[in-house]
Amino acid sequence: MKKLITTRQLIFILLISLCSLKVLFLPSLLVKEISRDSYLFFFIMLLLDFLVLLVFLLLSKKFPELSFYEIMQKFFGKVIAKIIMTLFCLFFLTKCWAVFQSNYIYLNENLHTSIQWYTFSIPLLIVVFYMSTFGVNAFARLIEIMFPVVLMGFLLSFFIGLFRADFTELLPICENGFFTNFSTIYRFSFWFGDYLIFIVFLGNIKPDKKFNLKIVISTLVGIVMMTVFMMIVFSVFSYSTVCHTNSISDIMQILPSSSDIGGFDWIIILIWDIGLFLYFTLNVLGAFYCIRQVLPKFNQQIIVCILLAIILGANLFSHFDIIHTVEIIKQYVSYFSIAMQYAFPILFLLFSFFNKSDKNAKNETGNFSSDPLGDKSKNKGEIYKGKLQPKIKQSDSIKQLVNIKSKVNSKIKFCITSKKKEQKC
Amino acid sequence: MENLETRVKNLKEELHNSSDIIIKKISNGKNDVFVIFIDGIVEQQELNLNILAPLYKFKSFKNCSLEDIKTGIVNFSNAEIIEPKDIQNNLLRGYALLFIDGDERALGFNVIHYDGRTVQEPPTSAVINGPREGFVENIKINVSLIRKRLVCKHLKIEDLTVGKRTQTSVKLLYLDDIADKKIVQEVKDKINKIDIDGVLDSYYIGTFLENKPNSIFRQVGSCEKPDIACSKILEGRIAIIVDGSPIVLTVPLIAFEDFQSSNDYYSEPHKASTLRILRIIALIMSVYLPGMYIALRLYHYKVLPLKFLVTVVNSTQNLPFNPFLEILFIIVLFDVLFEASLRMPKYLGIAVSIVGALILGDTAVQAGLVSHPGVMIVAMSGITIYILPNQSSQVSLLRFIFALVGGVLGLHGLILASMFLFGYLANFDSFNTPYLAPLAPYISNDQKDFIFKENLTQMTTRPESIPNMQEVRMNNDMLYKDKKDKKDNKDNENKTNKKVLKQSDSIQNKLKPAKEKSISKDKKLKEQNKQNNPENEDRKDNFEI
Repeated sequence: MKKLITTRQLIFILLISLCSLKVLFLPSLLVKEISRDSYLFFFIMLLLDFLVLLVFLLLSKKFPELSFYEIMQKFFGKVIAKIIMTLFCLFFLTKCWAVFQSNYIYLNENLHTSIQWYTFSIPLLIVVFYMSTFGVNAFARLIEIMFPVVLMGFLLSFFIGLFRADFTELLPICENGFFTNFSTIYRFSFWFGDYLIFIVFLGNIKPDKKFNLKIVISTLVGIVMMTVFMMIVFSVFSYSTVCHTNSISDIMQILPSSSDIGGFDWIIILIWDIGLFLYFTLNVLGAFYCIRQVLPKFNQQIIVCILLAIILGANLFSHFDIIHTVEIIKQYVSYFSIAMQYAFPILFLLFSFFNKSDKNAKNETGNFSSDPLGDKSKNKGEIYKGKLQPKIKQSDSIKQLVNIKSKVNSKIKFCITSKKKEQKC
Repeated sequence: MENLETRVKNLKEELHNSSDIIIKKISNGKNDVFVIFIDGIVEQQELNLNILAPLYKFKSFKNCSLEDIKTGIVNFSNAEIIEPKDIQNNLLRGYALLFIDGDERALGFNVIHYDGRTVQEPPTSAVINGPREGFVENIKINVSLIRKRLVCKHLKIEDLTVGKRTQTSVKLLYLDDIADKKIVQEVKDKINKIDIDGVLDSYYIGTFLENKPNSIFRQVGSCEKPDIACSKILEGRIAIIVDGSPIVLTVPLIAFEDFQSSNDYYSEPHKASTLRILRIIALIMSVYLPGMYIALRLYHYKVLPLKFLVTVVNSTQNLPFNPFLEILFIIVLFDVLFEASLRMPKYLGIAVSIVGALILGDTAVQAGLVSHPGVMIVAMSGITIYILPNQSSQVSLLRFIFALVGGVLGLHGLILASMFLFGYLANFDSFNTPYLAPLAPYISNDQKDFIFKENLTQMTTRPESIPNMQEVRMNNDMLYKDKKDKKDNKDNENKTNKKVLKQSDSIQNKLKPAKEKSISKDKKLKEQNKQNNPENEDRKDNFEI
């Protein structure tokens, strides 16, 4: 039985992926390059991400019953679809690597100064990769439980900063000119493009009424909140971050009035750790989903072990020189990420216009329901029995229609065969 | 056929000549009858007065059949003819069996009587308000306690027998018009598949019903009070009563069931809500407190507020153990004391707990082996474990694991362990019911009786998280809404039927020209055939006629 994620769960997933990676490591990197206008960069990149999300929403609307891999097969054929899935798997693995590094830096600088990389990494990787075998549905439920906690952490950070922010520090905007500031921003694109995770959920969503509207509104609210949060961060810490360590939790600790919020500080730190963990698991799920499409006959546990070994190896390689790792990401991985994050969605958009919608096919099979669940409606029916009854009746009427069709067809066949016999005679 | 006396003796021999098997020979005239029963599990007075006494008074059993004795001689209505293959089983269950010459069958008298407890309040589910009756070990009494409350024709009771040697009777109770048929069937299938020598308690059945029997988390609910069992049955669950056990199992189970107490339903909603929040806080404290204390003291003392840090440091100076070992030592000490007090006689147990908790704890602190905060933390988490008695074994294990993780990986480890725990629970399903419902997946309708309990008048529907066939449970506004929904559904149905008819019409219209063509072609062919072979056509017509 296919299990589906609800619109609410999807919204939480999108919001978690919107904020988790960006708040810890990126602000301090950006401040060193773009200074106080970094929030503008954030806003532009988030809007770009939003456009990518719209492409995926379009795909989900046009092909509601198809998974991402099936859509790719429809667009490009089996071989190219597998290549695309492999590329996405690599992309998610790279993200995992980056998240892993960010998490380690963040812990090492703030929470757990004496932690060894292996003490940190091995349990984390084992838990994350084991959880990725639970599947999308279990993860969506986990996000549903944890989202209020992460939201609380975000709001705490937000309001603590808001009361201390002086927004005049952000003025004048683009003092050195817009293009001078933003000529090198593509190098930071890797920290964005989180909505690509939508590909895991295509075909697995149980859409509500006004599904698209809900997703769009919640994402826009998230983007606005995130931008304001970044305005707060850059207005308060625009100069101080250069002399300090890399993550935002450290920035929070060097607040002039940190003694007031000392009690809250560790709560915020803990909550960001939860956010990062969820984001990490999300990307592992993405990588796992993609590789499973490429190698469908392989044992799941073997695939998980291979992915685990790849990430562990990459971290073993990079943990000795983290700054160098960041440079690698900025220089080389950024091109790859631009291709995956923006070029591919544009391609999908173009191909979606040239391909027929899946709805006609659905009607041919007699599914009148707007719910693109198929099998899942049964699943839902077990839980929400009362609401399902009309659909069952509809399906009965569909059966009648199919019966009529088959009877007519058989009569025609009979006519043709009898004619042939007569002709033979 | 063998002699009657040897038959009875053989039967006793088959049961290894057990000393409690009593054989009574009643000789009236030439024909004898034998009555055989097991001492101790039959109602002796009833047997003597209503069965044996009339038999002794009867003059002759000549030409008497078992049916004659059943209807004419014995003054006992609860009697039945037992086939030879069932004789042994019925004797062991407590039937008194009567044998006559010339008949292989036996006449069985249901005089089963087991001594047991009377109905009383269960010790682990004591309430301030509400009914105080609890289940006992007798299955019949347990069923009657539920029947008394659910006077409803839809209450269905199904009998099953489990255990090759114990032949334990198991009863499934559910409301036929509410409980989900698939779940009922699944439960029945699982119980029927049990191939075990003996079932001594409902726990045995519960283990077989679980999808993941090695998990530390329960997947089958339990209750000790008929009012709780009835409320669960009314929600669409299935109750499983096992003979010899005062614990009634219920499926499906959701994790938050244990946060609900029967007291909540017999008191004001605001009070129930407050208590539920307290229970959640208590659970969090019991699991996280020792681990958190170790993590903060070992790795993250900087994040503590200064005044608190000073207090802790002052009281933990000069301790020989580090906080990790200290807390583990206290946890083990307290758990040993708890086990000892359980195993000892009641009054000695109280003395042991006083000596252990007060004197030993205080002396250990004064000796400088453990600190005051350490004892306090473990004591607090130890007490809060028993706020949810059904979850106590799981929670105490989790407390230990979290203390270990906190000691090794600090707060990061605690977060990791929590994520794993929640992820694992989120992946759990008990009979198609998400274990963490109605939190994950979030079911808005079920929030009425989740952390915050609403007034009884507002709980008009059954929980959606439990699969059921009737959503509405209360006849007020909701019923009106239900009617309206039904009407809407009917309208929708009519619309869809019309659509279907239209579509079928359109298909038929599309097919009409093809049909007409084929018919016209047929006619033409026939005419051609007629013209070519007039004889064949005549034969065909004859054949058709």
